[in-house]
Amino acid sequence: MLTLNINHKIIKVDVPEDMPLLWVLRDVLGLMGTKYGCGIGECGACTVHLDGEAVRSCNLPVGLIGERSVITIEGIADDPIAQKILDAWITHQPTQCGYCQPGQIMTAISLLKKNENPSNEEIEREMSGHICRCGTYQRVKEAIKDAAGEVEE
Amino acid sequence: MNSLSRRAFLSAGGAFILGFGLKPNFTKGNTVNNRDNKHNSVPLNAYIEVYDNDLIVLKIPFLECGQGIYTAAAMLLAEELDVRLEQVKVKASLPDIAYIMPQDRTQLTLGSYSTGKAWLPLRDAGASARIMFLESASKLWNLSIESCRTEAGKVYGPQGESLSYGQLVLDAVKIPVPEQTKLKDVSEFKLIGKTQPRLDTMEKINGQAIYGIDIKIPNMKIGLVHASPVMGGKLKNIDDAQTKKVKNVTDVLYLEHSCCVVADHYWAANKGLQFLIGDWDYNDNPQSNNNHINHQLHLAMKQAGETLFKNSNDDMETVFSKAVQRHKGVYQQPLLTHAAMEPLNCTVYVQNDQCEIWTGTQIPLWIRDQIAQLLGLPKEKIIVYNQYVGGSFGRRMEEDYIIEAVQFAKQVNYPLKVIWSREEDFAQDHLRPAYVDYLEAGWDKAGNIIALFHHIVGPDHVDYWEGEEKKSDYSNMVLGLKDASYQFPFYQINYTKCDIPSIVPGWWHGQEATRNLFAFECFIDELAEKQKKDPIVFRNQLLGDNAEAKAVLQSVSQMANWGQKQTKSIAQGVAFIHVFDSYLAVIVEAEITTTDVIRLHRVFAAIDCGFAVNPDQVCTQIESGLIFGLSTALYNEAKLQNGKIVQRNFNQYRVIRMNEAPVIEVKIIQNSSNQGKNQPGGIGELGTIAAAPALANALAAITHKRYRSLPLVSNIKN
Ligand code: FES
Ligand code: FES
Repeated sequence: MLTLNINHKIIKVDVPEDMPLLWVLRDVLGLMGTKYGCGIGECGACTVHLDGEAVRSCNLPVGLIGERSVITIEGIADDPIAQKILDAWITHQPTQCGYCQPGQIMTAISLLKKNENPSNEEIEREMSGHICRCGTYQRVKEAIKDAAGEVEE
Repeated sequence: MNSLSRRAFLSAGGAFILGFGLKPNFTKGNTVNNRDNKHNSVPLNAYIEVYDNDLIVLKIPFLECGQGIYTAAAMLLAEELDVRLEQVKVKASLPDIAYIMPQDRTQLTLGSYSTGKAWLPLRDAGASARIMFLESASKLWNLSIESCRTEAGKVYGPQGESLSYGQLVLDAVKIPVPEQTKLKDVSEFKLIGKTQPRLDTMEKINGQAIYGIDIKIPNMKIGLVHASPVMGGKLKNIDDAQTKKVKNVTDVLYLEHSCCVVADHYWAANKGLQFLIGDWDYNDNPQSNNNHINHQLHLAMKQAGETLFKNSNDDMETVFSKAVQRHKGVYQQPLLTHAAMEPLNCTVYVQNDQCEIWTGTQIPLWIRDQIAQLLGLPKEKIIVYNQYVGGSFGRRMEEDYIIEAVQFAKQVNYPLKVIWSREEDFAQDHLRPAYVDYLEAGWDKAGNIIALFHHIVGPDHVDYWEGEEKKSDYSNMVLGLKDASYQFPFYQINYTKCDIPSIVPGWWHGQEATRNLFAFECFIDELAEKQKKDPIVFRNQLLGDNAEAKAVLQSVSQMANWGQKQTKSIAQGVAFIHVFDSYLAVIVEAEITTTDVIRLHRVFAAIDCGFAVNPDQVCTQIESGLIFGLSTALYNEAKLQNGKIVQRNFNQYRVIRMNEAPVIEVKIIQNSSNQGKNQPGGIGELGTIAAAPALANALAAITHKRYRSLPLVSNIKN
């Protein structure tokens, strides 16, 4: 039995320690907003927050998490920065098929938490771990810049 | 039209359901829908359900794969029905002949045509229902219909009395469906043509949207597939004892060419698969390599080929012999995978008397019929719940992943979600085939092109897709060429079919137009260069008096400030296409650095799609298509080694990421001459089609060498 802190809830799961967090979220806990895209840390679709840092859950063995807090896309509702990001996403409409978007949003939130006013280069550096086959990069970048403007105020 | 198909009735659930048969004569152009003959032709039924809480559910046969069809369809309906857009909830219809669009004879999401196909039918459905609500209210109030009006989902009387559609449902259902409706004029549109936010944005960004891979059914298990990496290989010497010992693994299932490890969760299935021992018997299945394929294609190019299109009765050699100068080019394009973000998956629950399927497919009705045959069940007992997909790019036109999942699921008595790992998604892809194109042109003293010949060499994936019963008529092979807007007094297109052993050829983004127009638009650019003319001026000459086309080219050249002085390492390249009833002109500004890195600076696009239903979404679709096309043109080639696809994940299949993405500017030209008269043209695939030639032409402008093969990085580095 492992004890995890997911979306501010303490949860016990009976899974092998080497099981990546992604599959615990999806197939054990039923949290389907965290997506599987590559399984090797290349695409970012599986991004969650581990103590506020954006990490790839597909190659994070659940046994290594310990007491650290895990936040998934389902757990961001009360976060004011997340709200700004979601609002900006509505304004700039990057979402096409949408499959990569929860992952991109999780990284965008953690970026703005670390850096209230990121430059273009900083946004690019942080977001380039994500693949979007619908090619929504330009609007994602605009949305982040817009949200950053809002965060500053 | 068949009035029997227009009906209104009350469903068991208390919703008002309108099924509208629509006029079948809306057909415009010819879609490449060749499965038609397998189904009886019936008029369209677009189903609207109006609930007493004022919710309106619209069920459409299209797959939402990112193109925004759910929102566009809701707009078309809401405009004429006169309801708020937020009231409309769009859902995927079940596979039923009742939901077919008038131009189709099966449910089909293909070829950038969805909005165009829905343009008249859904508006007509909305307009009909609106009249029924009006009439039912006026009857209740004892007023003339003319004294009442509708607004935002309500009927209002002259004294300000009002009833919502939800309140009127039970009465409206008794009103006969009007035989004739008058659709709004373009000038009366409140929603259509004005940017609306996508209806699916919120659920897709808060993690609530359900994609096929997210389906949860009670007692469901997860199955991970592994199939022969060489087409047609058979399993042998299997030992699954270790696999079955893995905790949470419950079953190991087999088909002739694949196996599936079933577990309580993906990770256990994945582990189980690693412990599975066995070999593949490839027998004498073909095991090609890329070089071998290209060699075959070039050999086949020497054949004369079959003429698919010719606009003159003259003999080709006679015409060409009159030319003062001739120019030719041979273009080569590689195998490509789809690599959509969501790996393929399909959830199936086979019971004695029925089969339920949860997946994303572009051909749900076709799937239903196939599975009915496979399981020996009546068609109505096959229920396909079409889901959101994380991109398709043509992959979901195929049925292989669904058939395979059903074959595994019928071996067990629980619902089974079959997932292809990313590696399997690559390894088992239906590839965009490789091609060789030969082009030749001749011109007279004044520089007028008097003859153009295009010879296409490669497989025809439609032939494979059609199966045994029906053969392709090759109409797809000339997509984008036959509809090119340039005027040539003599224009001939030949095709030599050259199959590629050891790949399954598949549908791909932009279909044949992506391949055709790369070769064609690069060649047009070469002709301009040969004649020492500006590429846009040259294209303008070829466009004759086609004002619509010229307006698009002119617009993009203004946006890009075309003709400005270029540096040694940065240049602009243009491509102009007419396909899926839309015009698109693209200018790519690119750089080749001193270290031979290609950088994409800016991309400009001007689009005339007849009528842009949701303008900002037209822009996003063009942006999407451009990135997909640029990414492919720069980097992508599926490598085949002894019949196996070498790349298995994104670390081996490079795609553009944010740091490489250019700034893109899109301008829509709302074409007044075309407005409202016809259906809107396509947008979804156009960016992809135009991206590669525009980029290759930009690179050629920098180096003064022509780039006749893709991907471009291999050219620059060599
Ligand atoms: S699924 Fe984790 S990075 Fe792709
Ligand atoms: S929106 Fe489709 S992959 Fe990003």
